[in-house]
Amino acid sequence: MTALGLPVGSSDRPRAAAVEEARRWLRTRLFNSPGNSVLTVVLLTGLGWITWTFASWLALEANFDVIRANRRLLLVGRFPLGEEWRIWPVFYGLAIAVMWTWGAFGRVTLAALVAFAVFGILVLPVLAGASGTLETVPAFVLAAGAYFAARRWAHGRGRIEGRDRARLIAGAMWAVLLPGSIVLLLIDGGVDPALWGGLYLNLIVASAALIGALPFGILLALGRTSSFRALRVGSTVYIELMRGLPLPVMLTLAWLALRHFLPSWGGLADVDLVYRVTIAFGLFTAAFIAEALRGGLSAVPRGQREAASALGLNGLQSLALVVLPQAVRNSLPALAGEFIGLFMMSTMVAVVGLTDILQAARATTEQPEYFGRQKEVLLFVGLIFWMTAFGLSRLSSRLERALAGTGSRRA
Amino acid sequence: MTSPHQIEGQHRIESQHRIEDGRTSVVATDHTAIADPAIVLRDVQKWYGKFHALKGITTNIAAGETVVVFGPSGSAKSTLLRCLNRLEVHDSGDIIVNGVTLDHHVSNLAKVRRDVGMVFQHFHLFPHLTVRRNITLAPQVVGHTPIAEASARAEDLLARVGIPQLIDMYPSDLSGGQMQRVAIARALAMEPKVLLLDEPTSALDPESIRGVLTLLEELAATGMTMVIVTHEMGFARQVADRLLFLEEGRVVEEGTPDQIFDHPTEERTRRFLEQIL
Repeated sequence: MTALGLPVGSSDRPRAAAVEEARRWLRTRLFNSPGNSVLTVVLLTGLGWITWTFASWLALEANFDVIRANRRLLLVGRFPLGEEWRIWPVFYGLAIAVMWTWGAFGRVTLAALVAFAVFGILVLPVLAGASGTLETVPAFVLAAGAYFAARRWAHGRGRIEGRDRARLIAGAMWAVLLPGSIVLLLIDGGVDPALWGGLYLNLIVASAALIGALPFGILLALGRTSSFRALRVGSTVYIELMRGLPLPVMLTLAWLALRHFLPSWGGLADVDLVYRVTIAFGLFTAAFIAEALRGGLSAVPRGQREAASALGLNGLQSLALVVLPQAVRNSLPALAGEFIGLFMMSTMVAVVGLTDILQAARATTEQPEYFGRQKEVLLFVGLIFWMTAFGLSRLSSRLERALAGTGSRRA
Repeated sequence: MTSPHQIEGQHRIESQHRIEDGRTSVVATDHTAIADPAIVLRDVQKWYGKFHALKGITTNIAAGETVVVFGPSGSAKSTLLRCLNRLEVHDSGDIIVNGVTLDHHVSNLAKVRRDVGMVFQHFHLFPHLTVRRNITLAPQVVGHTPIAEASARAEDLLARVGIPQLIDMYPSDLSGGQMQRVAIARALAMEPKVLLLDEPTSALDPESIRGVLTLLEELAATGMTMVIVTHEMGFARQVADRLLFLEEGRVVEEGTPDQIFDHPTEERTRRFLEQIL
């Protein structure tokens, strides 16, 4: 209420006052001129109609059997039966890492808890009742445990010390998770990358590309701001080239043309398609990361470098310990945007014929028994992408505050 | 930890000296002027493009001496100071700090930077690190001091500059005076032989100025070699062993506080002092 500029009524006739306030608010904000009144009515009608159609579809027509039946396809594609042990540990690790990070950087608020509950009531029945239900239960336990452990760690002992350590551990968890997940896919005979699919393929491609792109992007940003001309020109040419190339073209190149450019020895040209596509994603994203970082780099005052030099730090130390941490913090919102964009764009692997979650969704609607059920499937896929993007954007704003260098009085 | 690099560095310095000794004889008399020079400047010149900033500065600064550099703005006081730890590169002449010649040799530069601390007008604390990390960073990564030891020393230093309670704060939580105290503690953490101070109180409010100046007076009394650029002439008179009056890149006059303030020989010095006092 206060957010709308309404005082909270607390006088002798609070209700009447509040009603009066609301009337005035409507009059002054929504119906203060004939044009605005028309606009308000049209918009409200439109919004109401959309809400009504959606709600009635959800309540009467929607049938989520298609998702329940194709759950496996959507999540892991054509991943071979009996090889799930390669994925469950990653799922548990993800649950732990997400909730530990949450505990280390923030608090699960009442609003978040309510959202979780609503989401759980809506989504769990859709997914429940098939194989694997039992295996998800430990994830909830582990997630809750990780959250409370992180909270304790961050708030027990020396406050700042504990908090910083909890955050470091969060970073370490994420750093272990991705290589771990890939190792799990490759050990003990491995699973043919052509069979990786569904949401898992999106996650693997996006995060592997990101991890490769981050250091490369940092180097490019440094190159572009370097005083060494050849380096500057080289970085600029690379960045502009990548930014001017549509991603589908990049992916097609990785798919069809790369083998013509690479030397045939060492099996370099025969690297599996999934790897080639991931590398293409990484090369592409690196250019955008470099651009996002460039602004952050130039925003670090020159005095910071000078102070580091005066203290005896060499160029590399000053870069790694003084300049880059500040540059990354400065460009965190832009970087988070790039990460989210990368995850969204991972659906482009369809261009080269891989079956990611979006392609799996399309495949389900071609099954005769679920004909015309694409709305439900797309809603589900959209929800998954939205959740990931929203989570990343929340995390980036928490990170920004954590790195702002003033948090000592805040939790 | 020290041997190979230092020996190499020393070797270079010695060879450098030999060349110099062969080149000029004026140098030798210069050396004997002060028994134990911490900093030797010989005909130091500096250009910014076509602008001639330093027009031949020659002076020696003894170990333990406190030298105040003053002069009108644009007289290249800060440039001179920044040449002493090579934040600016001089174009000709020699700068020798604790026996190490400042030149393009990285090992020489590293040695000088280790021995010379610097305090800036705008503090330049690292905003992403706590006060403790600001102070322990260089001892840890440059001096290879164990973290626990560096941390304990940071606590001592912070107590010495009078703000022990702020050790786990971030710079943005501090006032200007507090930040400058931290910056001084940070510079002292490397146990420098020489401390350069570039207008250390110019960005402070009047209240904080007094406190920081008192701290610097205490520091001078401990025998620290200091070169200070400042406009605080009362403080300069109090603390300086010697003053250098700089104008348009030249040392116009130098002498003890009494000489400069009470009996300046140069007309320009007199005029400048009249203006600001």
